[in-house]
Amino acid sequence: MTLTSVLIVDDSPMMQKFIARILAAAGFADTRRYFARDGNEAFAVLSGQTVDLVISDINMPNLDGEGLLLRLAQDERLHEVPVLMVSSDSTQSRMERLLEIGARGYIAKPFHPEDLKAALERILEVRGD
Amino acid sequence: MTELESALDEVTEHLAETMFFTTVLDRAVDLGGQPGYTASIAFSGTRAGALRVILPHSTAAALAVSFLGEADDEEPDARACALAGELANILCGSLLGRMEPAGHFTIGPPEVTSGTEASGQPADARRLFTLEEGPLAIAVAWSGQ
Repeated sequence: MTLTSVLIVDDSPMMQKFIARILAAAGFADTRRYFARDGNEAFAVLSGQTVDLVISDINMPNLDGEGLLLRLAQDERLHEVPVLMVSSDSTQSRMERLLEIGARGYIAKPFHPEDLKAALERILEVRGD
Repeated sequence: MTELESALDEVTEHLAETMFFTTVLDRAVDLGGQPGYTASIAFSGTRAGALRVILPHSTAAALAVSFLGEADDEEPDARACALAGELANILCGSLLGRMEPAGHFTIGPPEVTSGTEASGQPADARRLFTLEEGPLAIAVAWSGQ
């Protein structure tokens, strides 16, 4: 299972670092990591870099996680980039909405590091790695 | 114990264990009069209100180390302050999801201020915990009820 590069989108630098830490502990220490603080920054990164996966928060200023998903879905080059949503919003309605508009997975905070690893593995397996 | 208090206990214990790799040791403490932070977060939707996390500097700093691991070049005070906001954010979302799993919510950004005086403000539920890293208070106030 390979994960060459990942984009972590969260307006909290602390949460960005936490996810990067868990990725490293989960066996992805060599994965190239990019960071963005909102959906607009994420789109700017994606316009210049190819990534295997996006891990995104939902509640962010400017362009939130839902907006990012919708914009990716409309982009000819980026619509197949898998997105794993990580959010403190654990309501069923939010989860269903995001999966409906294209998220490949959803993890509610707080989550155990093993939950993140399992979600990554599910997405990468579907991709065929 | 009310449903809200019980839910606060559960989400705090779950958060401590999963993302901070620590445990809640006790529930009957005060904050010890130490300087600290208050992180407030407002929410609206199916239910509206606010959640506050109040904790001493020392607890926030120790939790930040647990959360991020040892290596970090950020200023310790800034890191502890950010930790307080992140705690409030995660606890608020988790609590609302547990209380109203079919609900719809908008959760605002956390606002972190210095001081722990808010621990005495009116609330519908207030819980005090002792973690391995130190004391922590959480209060929730519903609005419009």
